[in-house]
This record gives sequence, structure tokens and C-alpha cells, in this order.
Amino acid sequence: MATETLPAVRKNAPYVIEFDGITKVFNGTLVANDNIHIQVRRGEIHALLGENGAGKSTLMSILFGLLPPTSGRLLLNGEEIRVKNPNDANRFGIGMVHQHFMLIDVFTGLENIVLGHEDANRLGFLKYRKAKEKIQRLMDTYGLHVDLRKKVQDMTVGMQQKVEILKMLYRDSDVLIFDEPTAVLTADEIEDLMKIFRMLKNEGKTILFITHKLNEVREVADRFTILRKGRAIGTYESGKLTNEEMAELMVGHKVDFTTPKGEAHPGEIVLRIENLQVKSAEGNKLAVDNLSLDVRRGEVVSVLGIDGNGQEELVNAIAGLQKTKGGRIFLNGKAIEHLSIKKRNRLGISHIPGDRHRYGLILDYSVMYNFIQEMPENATFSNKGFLKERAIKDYSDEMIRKYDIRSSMGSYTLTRTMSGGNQQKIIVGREIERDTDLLLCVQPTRGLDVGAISTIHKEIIKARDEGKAILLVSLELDEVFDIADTIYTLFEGRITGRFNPKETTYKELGLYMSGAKCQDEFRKEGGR
Amino acid sequence: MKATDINAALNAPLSYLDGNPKKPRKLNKWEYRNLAAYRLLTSSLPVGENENSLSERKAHRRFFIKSMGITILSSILCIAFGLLLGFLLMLMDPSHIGTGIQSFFSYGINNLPRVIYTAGPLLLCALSVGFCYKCGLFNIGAPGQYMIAGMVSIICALNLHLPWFVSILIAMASGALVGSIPGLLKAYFNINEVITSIMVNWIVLFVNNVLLNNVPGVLNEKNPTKSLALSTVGDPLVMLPSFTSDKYINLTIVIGIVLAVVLFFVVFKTTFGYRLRAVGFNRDAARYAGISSKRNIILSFVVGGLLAGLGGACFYLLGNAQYTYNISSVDQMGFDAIPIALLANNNPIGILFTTFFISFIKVSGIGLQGVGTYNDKFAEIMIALILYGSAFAVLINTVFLKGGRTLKKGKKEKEGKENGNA
Repeated sequence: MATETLPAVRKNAPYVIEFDGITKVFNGTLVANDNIHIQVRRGEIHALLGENGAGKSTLMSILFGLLPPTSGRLLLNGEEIRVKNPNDANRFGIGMVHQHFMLIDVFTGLENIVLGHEDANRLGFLKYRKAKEKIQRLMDTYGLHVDLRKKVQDMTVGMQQKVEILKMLYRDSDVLIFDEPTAVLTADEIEDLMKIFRMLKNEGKTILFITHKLNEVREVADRFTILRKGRAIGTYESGKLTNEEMAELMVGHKVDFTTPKGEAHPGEIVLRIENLQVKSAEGNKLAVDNLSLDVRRGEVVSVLGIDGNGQEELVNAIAGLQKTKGGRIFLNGKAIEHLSIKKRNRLGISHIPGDRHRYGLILDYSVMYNFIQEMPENATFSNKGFLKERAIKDYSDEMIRKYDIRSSMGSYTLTRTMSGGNQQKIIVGREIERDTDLLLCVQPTRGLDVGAISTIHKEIIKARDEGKAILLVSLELDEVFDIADTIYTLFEGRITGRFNPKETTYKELGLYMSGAKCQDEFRKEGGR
Repeated sequence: MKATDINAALNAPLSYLDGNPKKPRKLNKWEYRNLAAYRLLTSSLPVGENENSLSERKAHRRFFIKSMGITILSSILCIAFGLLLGFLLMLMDPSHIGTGIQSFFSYGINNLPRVIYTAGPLLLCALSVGFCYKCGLFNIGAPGQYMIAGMVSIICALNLHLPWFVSILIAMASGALVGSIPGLLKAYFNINEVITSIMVNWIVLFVNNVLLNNVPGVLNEKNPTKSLALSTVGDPLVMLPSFTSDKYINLTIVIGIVLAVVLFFVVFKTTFGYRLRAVGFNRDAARYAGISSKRNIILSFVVGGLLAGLGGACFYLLGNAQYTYNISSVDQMGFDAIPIALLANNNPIGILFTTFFISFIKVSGIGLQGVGTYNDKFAEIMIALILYGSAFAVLINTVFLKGGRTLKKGKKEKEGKENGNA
């Protein structure tokens, strides 16, 4: 006995992977997976659909050997397997692409792909010839073209993902797991990925992917399983259910896809930007170039552009995270471009940052401490410099209830241990509830599921109706059309057009976002 | 919440596990409790009726007590591990091992005043290191801050005849000044504080040597030992008050204990501590929230300098020790404080207890001298081993928290497999 042998591939086994009663109880108090039965057919694209914190990632981590199940069995080709670590998973032909890629930035694509499976000659020098041939074959077969000599840090996110896929294929994986593969991609890259998925399927690979985007399931998956609160609700043929039905199964109640919103009643100008110039992070060019716009009380203004056209720098400059090079920023008529971040916060700016781990949260603080990030000295939360733990806890409990934030220990949960969607809800809740005039939202619903998106959109509209001025930056066209009252298109740091979302189309905006068109009034240098 | 609701929540999990017809299985007590707590805490109760703050607090308290217990247990295991390995090392002279261990402990226990005496300045230095670490800064500069304050306090007492509390204040200021150098460099130029503070240590050492050697009035030319001590001064106003004639039990330890408690509150219960730790955890997020990381970095180094300086001043103002001209090594006290802070995870209260323990081992080590071929360096080895052990504390934690059960189960399954194959 002793040595474990791979189960022989029995092509007649109907299911390549079976989850048989998988239960995972995390030692705190959280049941992440609750007696889950799923059967995955050979050669199908199987989507796992569920809300944030439904247990999708946990289940995949169990399959990939990152977590041991509390009880239940995993079956590969009808035979029970025990996957104790990712190396086991690799031997069983299971590969995984994580949401945050596991690549070494300073290595080239080639080095990353062969990492852990390198050939070496007797003296210990690496030999790449065979590896290169094999990778080339794979690239041709699956249409995955990557510059192998490029370092990962110089690649786009889409390229990096392709490297990850090649890494799995290089290890001869037959079952490919993807954890929210589209969360970090642009629209073009998503389309590319969907093509790759189909190609992989044609070559007989089985794909399991996690998502909460209904359209992706509809487009590419053969079947999908819905998880809700740790339980498998059911497995369905793709296309048999409407989006509304899928969402309802996911969330457990009806979901409105469009946010009900009344007419905007714009009031006085809260944020005025005049001829703003901001240098890019590298400092070699202007990321924001002579940009002017106004945001009024009671309206949602959206700045829409392809990622990297200056929207991030614009928001950072308003929030004070980045220095301006020229131009002026007024908040309620007061020039703020030279004020500290603290003063700007006090004057009334809330900011939902695009990078939640870098700016939005202190991951090593508990949830309740993250709710007071900008305002520990607020009289509600502290008295003469001493924190009022009870008051902070009460406030935090209220926010957790209001925004449906799920975690293992409520207010006391360490933020690092929570799922991304729930972390995002902390930030959104905190920033919306702060008593401010201007709300800067950068991708406020990134990584959230349909239910949470609709909650947050409603809250944003409510904040608008209560008289906040809102500047929205989002890469999701649906989102912008849903909640914005005015849309400015942005190309290379300049505004190319102003639109009313009710009177325009995706296609028209696309032309302005790509710089193909520009409205006359914005054509002139520094024109308003 | 009504009692019936709790019962309903508690009863729910049993029924659901029966849902698997292939493998009906009863939950063990621990899973059952977790499930129950989960039901209580989260979604199975309709949102809005979730008035569970009482039970949630209880669950948290239970978890807190459990994790506290495990932390303390694993610390004790680390210590036992270190001591045991230390005693194993003593096997190199097997004939004396019994008497060695006996005199190790008996010396420590018989010399508790000395343990307290050593603990005083050590505690203050360890608090300095721990405080800076809460802001994410590694204060290796504690020895320098300690030395400059020692020197300044002696000069204040010996040459200027200032009362002890004034000397202490001036010495603390000098410690803060020296501490602020790496702080400023870190804040404004982002130079690694480890490197700068090590260099500052050496600068301080040689500044002190220059003072001892060359400046008239500081070092009496007739003094061939090149050292300064207060023992010759009879003026009680100049020296730190002590409670015993051998001065082993003195004001230092009182100050240290009070400061440890005060610092605990400052770090964990005030907005200042909140901001300080925020900078330590995530500098970018702190900046986003309008917290000035520059200010907090400099401040924490200044506070660190004040604390280490206080330690140095107290130690030398007592009059038991003399400041000696030394060309080859930085004072050991500040370095000894670093493992203490690490061992205590930089928690001021933890540092308080750890200091006494380390001090006990240090003093006990003296008891080994003269027994067989042992010497007091064995104590240093034990401290080093305990520090290594603390790195395993995390591992021990995991084993106790969850590993234990899965390990056992894995074994059982394996056995089952083997039987099946046989």
C-alpha cells in the first residue's frame, strides 16, 4: 500500500468531479459549505454562481487542496480522492487560477509557467528548450498567445491570466478551476477569455468557474450550480432560467435589476473643477489634461472611460491622494487643491477608493474599527482622545445590519478574513453614511453580487436625493447607465463629450471613449 | 431574543445533516456548537429580528477566552521548549547536570530582588521597542537612546548636581532627540529605520567615548578606569530613590509597571493609538483616511526614545552601575529588550510579564557560574531558544485550534484504508 496511485481515467465514468456531501465548518463559528452535492460532467463548462460569501471559493479551495473539508468526499472519475495540498491536485490533473494571480512579477512568462516543473541538466542549469516547444504547442492549440520573454510585471492583467492558464495546461491539467476570472478584466479581455473557454472545452477540458455575473453564465456555461449561504440550491442547464429567476435563486428573494430612481433635482454646485492637470504616476505625461467639470448637489455625474484614461488620477487629485500640477478644485466654493487629506475630509468629501486593500481598509483591524477609519475623533466614537468601544460597536452593528455584511464574528471579525464583497460593503457603507457633501465613488460595486449591487445603487440614489453631490467612476457601462444623471466621456485625460444617459447608447459612448469622436464644445483647449 | 428562538436555532443543524442519505452522521459537540452559533449570528434568522448582540458578545467572549488561553498555553510551551533544550545543552558536562539545574533555579529564586533590579531598565527598553513596533517600526535604536540618556543623566548628576527628577527629564529629552533622527529620516526620506538606528547607536557610543575621554570636567583625569559612577556621591537628592539598602528594589520598576499599564491604554484605547496602529498596519490606508503617517512615525520614535532614555537614566542614576569607556560594543540592555518585545507580541502588558521572566532566567544564569564547566552564557542560549520557540507559537496555535481534530481523523482514515487493503 503506502504509495498513492492515481485513479485510472475511466472514460466511461459520467462525472469527472463529484462533490459528495462536502461540509466545511470554519473554526470560529462559520459554516461555509453545508453538505454540498455537485456533479460535474466531463468536458463541460460548469459555473458556480452565488452571492459574496456563499461559499464558492471555499468549495474550490477544498477541491484544489488548499483547505481540508470538515466532512464529505471528493470523487474524481467516480473514485474517491483525498486532495491534501495543491501538489496533490496537480497530480490529479486539477489546476486553478486564483482571483489574485499567483505569479512572480520579476520572472518572465516562461519562467513562471515552468516554475516547479523545471528541467535542468546535471550541473543544475535550467533547460528551457523542451518546455518552450511544449508551451508553443499549447499556445497554438488553444490560441493563447503570450510573449514568453516578457516579465509578468510588464504584462496586462489579461496577459497574466493567459500565463496562468498556460501554467495549468503545461501541468497537463484536465479540470481547470477559475476563481472569478472576469472580475479584473476589461470588456475586450472578457470576450477573449470566453473564446479561450470554448476552445478549452473543444479540446476536452472541464472548466469550473466562479462568477456572479449572470450574463457570463448565459453566454459560456453549459450548466451552472447556484450556491446560497453555503448550500447548493441546485444545478441547472444554462439558458433554462431567466436572469430574474437566477438572481432570485442566488439571493433568496426578488431582485430589481434597474434601480428605481426619480428625476434628479440638481442644486448648487458642490464640486467645481477648473482646467485641472494631474501628472500620471510615472510622471512623464499628463494623466488629466485641462479637465473642467461641475458636480451639483443632488445629481450623479459619471466620468466614463476605458481604464487608464485618467479617471483614477482625477479622483485621487480631488481626494488629495495625488498632487495637482495645475488648475483649481473648489468644494462649495472653497479652493481645496492645496489642503491636506484630513482637511478635505472634514470639509465634506467621502471617497470610495478603487483599490480597497490599498486605501479602503486596514485589514488587520476588526470590522468595527474599519467603520471609523476617517473619524476616530468624532464625538460619537471618542471622548477626550479615548475610544468609546461600546458606541463604536453599536454603530458597527447597525451598519452590518443595514448593509447585510456577513462575517464569522460580526463587529469583531478581523477584516482580512472576510470575502472581498463583504469588505467592499464596509467601505461603501462607511463612506455613504458619513455626513459629507461630495461622494467620490470609484467602482463602488466591484466584486459584488446582484443583490448587493442593487442595495448599494439604491443607497447611492438615496444619498443623491438627500442632497449629496456624487461623482461616479466605473468601468461597468450598465452601472453608469443605471444610476448616472450626466455622463462625461473621458479619453486620454480629456473630456470628449457630455451625455444624458436616457438619450444615448452604449455604441455612441464607445466612440467617444475611444477618442474617435469629440463634441465641439470640448474640442478647444481648456473649453468648458 | 426569546428562549424559544434560541432553541429553534440550536435544533436546526441536527435535522439538516440527516439530509445526506448515504452518510447519516451526528455532529460532534464542537461542530454542533459552531453551527448553533452560526445560526444565531447570521442569516438563518430574518434580518431585522436579529437582536442578537447579547449572544454575539457571548460568542465573541468565548472565542476570545479560548484564543487567549491557547496563546498563553503556547507561550508556556515555547518557554518549556527553550528551557528543556537549554538543560539538554548542559549534558555536555553530564556529571554536574543535577547540581547545575538546582543551582540555576535556587539562585534565581533566592535573588528575586536582583531579578526585579534587572527587570526595571529592561522593561522600559522593551516598552520602547514594542511601542515603535505598533507603528510598524523596528526600533533597534533603543541601545543608543539608552546610552545617551545614561551619559547625560550622569553628567547632570555629577557635574551639575541637579536633582534626580530633573536629570531624568533632561536625559529622556536626549533619548528622544537621538530617537527622532531615524524617525525623521524614515518619515521624510523613507530610509530604512533599521539601518539608520544601528548607525545612530554607534554614533552615540563614540560621542559618549569622546565625552568621557576628552572633555574637561566630565572625566576626572585622575580616573584611570575611564568610567563614571554616582556611587561616590553621597547626595541623596541626586540619586534615584530606592526602597532597600542594596538599591535592588527601586523606583524604576514602579515607573515601568505604571508606564506599561498606561501604554496599554494609549495603544489600544485612544484615538492616538488607533491612528498609530493604523499607520503601522497600512500606511496608504492611513493616508487615505487623513492620518499623517509622517507625524505618527516621528512621534512613535520620539516616544520610543523617551522610554528607552528613561530606562538609561534610571539605571545610571541609581548609583549601582558605572558608565565605562567602551570602544568595541554597544550597550547590551537595549538589544536584550528586542526579543522581549517580540516574545510579548509588542503588547505592553505582555511585555511586563515577559520582562520579569527573561530577567529571572538572566539572573538564574549567574547561578550556573562555578558549577562544573557551566557559565552564565547558558542563560543567553536559553533566551535565544525561547525566542526560536516563539516563532513556532503560531504553529502550535494552529494545531490546537483546528489541526488536532483533522490530524486524528486523517490517521483513522489511513488505518481504515490499510485494513481494507490487507
